[in-house]
Amino acid sequence: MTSLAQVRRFRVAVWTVIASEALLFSGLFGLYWSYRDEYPRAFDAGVRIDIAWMGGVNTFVLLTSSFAIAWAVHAMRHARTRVVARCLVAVLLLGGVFLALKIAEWTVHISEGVVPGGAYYTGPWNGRGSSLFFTLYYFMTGLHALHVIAGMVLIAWVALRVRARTLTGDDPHALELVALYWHFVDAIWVFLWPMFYLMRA
Amino acid sequence: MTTHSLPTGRAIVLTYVLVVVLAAASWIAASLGTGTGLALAIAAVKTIAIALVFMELIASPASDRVIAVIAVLFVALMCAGLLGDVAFR
Amino acid sequence: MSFWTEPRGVKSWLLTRDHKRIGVMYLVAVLVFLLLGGTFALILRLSLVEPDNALVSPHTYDKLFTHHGIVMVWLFMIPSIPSAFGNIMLPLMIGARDVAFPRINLASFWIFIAGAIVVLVALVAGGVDTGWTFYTPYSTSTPTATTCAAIGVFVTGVSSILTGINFIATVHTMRVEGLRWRDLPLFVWAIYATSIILVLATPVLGLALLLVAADHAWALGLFDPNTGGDPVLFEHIFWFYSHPAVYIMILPGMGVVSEVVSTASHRKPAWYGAIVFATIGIALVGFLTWGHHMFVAGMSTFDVGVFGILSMLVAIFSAIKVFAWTSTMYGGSITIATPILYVFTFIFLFVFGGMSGVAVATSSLDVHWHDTYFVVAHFHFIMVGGTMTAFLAALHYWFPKLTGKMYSETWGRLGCAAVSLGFIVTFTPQFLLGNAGMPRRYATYPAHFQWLHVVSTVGACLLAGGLVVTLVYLIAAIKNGKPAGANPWRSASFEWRSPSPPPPENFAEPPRWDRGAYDYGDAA
Repeated sequence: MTSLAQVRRFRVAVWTVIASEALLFSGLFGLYWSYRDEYPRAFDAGVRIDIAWMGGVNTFVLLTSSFAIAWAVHAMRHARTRVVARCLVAVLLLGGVFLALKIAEWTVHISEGVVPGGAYYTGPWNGRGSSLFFTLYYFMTGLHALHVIAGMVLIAWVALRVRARTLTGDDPHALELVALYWHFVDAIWVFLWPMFYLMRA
Repeated sequence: MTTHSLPTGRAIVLTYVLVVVLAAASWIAASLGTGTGLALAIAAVKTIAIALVFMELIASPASDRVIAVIAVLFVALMCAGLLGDVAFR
Repeated sequence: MSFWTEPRGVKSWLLTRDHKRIGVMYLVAVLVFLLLGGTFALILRLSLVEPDNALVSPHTYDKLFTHHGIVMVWLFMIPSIPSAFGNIMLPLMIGARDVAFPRINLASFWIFIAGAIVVLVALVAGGVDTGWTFYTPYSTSTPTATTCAAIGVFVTGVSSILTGINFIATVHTMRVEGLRWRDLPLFVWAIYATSIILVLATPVLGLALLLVAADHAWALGLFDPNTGGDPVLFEHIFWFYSHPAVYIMILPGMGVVSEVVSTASHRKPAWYGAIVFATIGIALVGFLTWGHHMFVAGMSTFDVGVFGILSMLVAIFSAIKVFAWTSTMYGGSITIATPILYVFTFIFLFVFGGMSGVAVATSSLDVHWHDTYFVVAHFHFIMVGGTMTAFLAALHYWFPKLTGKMYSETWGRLGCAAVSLGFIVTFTPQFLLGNAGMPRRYATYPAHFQWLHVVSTVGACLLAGGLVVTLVYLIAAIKNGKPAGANPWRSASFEWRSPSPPPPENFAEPPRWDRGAYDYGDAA
């Protein structure tokens, strides 16, 4: 049973991890905005080339998964374990859909010569910076996808604990903390989506 | 040591509806070609909603909120530093 | 029954969760890396005695200064005080039994060792020649073991972040009953502020290294002008971490100085509130200044101006601290012993180092000094004259607490004299060299610079000798030193209430915060 002091300790630690992760992405955001300022035409073209419906669906998928895990936390506090289990399964399924769409999207891009790295890029050319947009795209969505996978592993662990009844309404803290991490992963995508799919020049 | 109590089920549902509506608005605005500022502003509002309700910052002790604010400020600092270089050369 | 002997066995050390044992293991590791990094430096200095540098080839020279930088920065300076003394002393100073997450603490240590091993492999398997700063596009195209080194440093960064999280959680949630934030010892404040930097800045380094490794492996071209990339943006990301990193290196040292000054003067620190303000101020404002490393890199004049002004700002906090320490000592009855002698050295050298920092922060002046020995002298005054001196002060101050023995005071003073004098002779000529135009990272130089280089090398030999002597008499004292009591310095601070050396559980019974850490019974 986690004591109140332990709960506090873990929560401070998880928020600190989240701050750390935000800073990990920060340099990439900085690069994006700087290169976008330098190469507006290439970035505008890049946004148009990105597959809009996939980005949109992925956004809806992640937002829904955030809702599902928030609902799981809420249900757990009222000891409705069956609801919790269903919500967690939903989060995992939605995460899977997100990753599948991502891989599909990358596959389509690669077949068109849109690859990371200036040396190998043979996709549409819209002036200097064209390949930079996509290198950043792959790197940022790739790094984000890694965090999605990490989040799903944590959620699977929590789901197993719920099933084993070591995580209960009296001691829901592991679920609450994993949920925090998942919401952060969602929040990163909330910014990646307009940056790579919506914002034309 | 909280200012509000934990979000209710209703608050969670309403927040979800809000962020989905905002996402749809973002999509529509983009197809109409309204540009960077609006898209970012909508993204910021969505993130704040997620942070306050889903991440329960509205009911968390001050130290958690301070950490979150500092994280956001420092990401902004990084972007400002790089952009302030490239944009003003 | 001390933490050294309970529980018994090598396995109980390697898998320990005792913060004191973990701190000791870090201490041994950083001392080994100090010697390694110092050896690289000594070879460099010896090779620079002759203008045409017959000792090493230019390419070897590049590797030597790179290895010196990488080992010193990431394997010695960053972990030295926080991971070693922070680990040992933080729980003791707040009346806690251990840190918040002891198993993660152990993981931190082994991750650090793993990263260090990868770095060492890189040094041996081809070496790195980019400078510790890994600037692109050279770092992403050089055929040396750059990627391997980058991965090694990345791994040590993970260790740093875990340590930072642990310390933050510890200070927030494990203070003994009655110990409020405003009563915290200044060393604890220093470690807390350092931890804030550790968790916020190190991920940025992680990204920078990840980008170098990925770009090297897959020709991403993010910083390659041929694809439209901008190498200066890499510098932004790198220095966004590396400037706050120097505050990771100095803040714990300042915390040590505050403790030793207070104990030696038998007075509570003057302007406690101001020192705390300055500590947090350095941690946060330190993040606003990174562009001063890039004044001549091609940044916009807007950024040059902004970073110049902000860099001046951060010096104010350091000045507050120097005045506070001096004020604490003034009118106090100072017990002269090796720790306070190192502190005198620290204050003296840190002031010069700091002032030279304000000088190079003046962008119009830095145009002349950038990439010369002037900058090298500036940061060595802070890193060695500051951090390493504070590290030695900590070593001598807490030696009796850790070992229960006392070293020879005579040897302590001799060692301090050798280190202090050796340092001054090594690095003061480098201000002159830099100002006269001697570029940094150059293996050869015009003959008229030779006498300054020779003086610097003589100083380096004295400094090295002083360090070796210090380690020898300290190790001898572990075995043969006179027994020290629980509190040989008659300090009021909490860690001296436990036995010397402390038992595994730190305190025989749960401590009560019945008086302050600086309660010397004086009115002022």
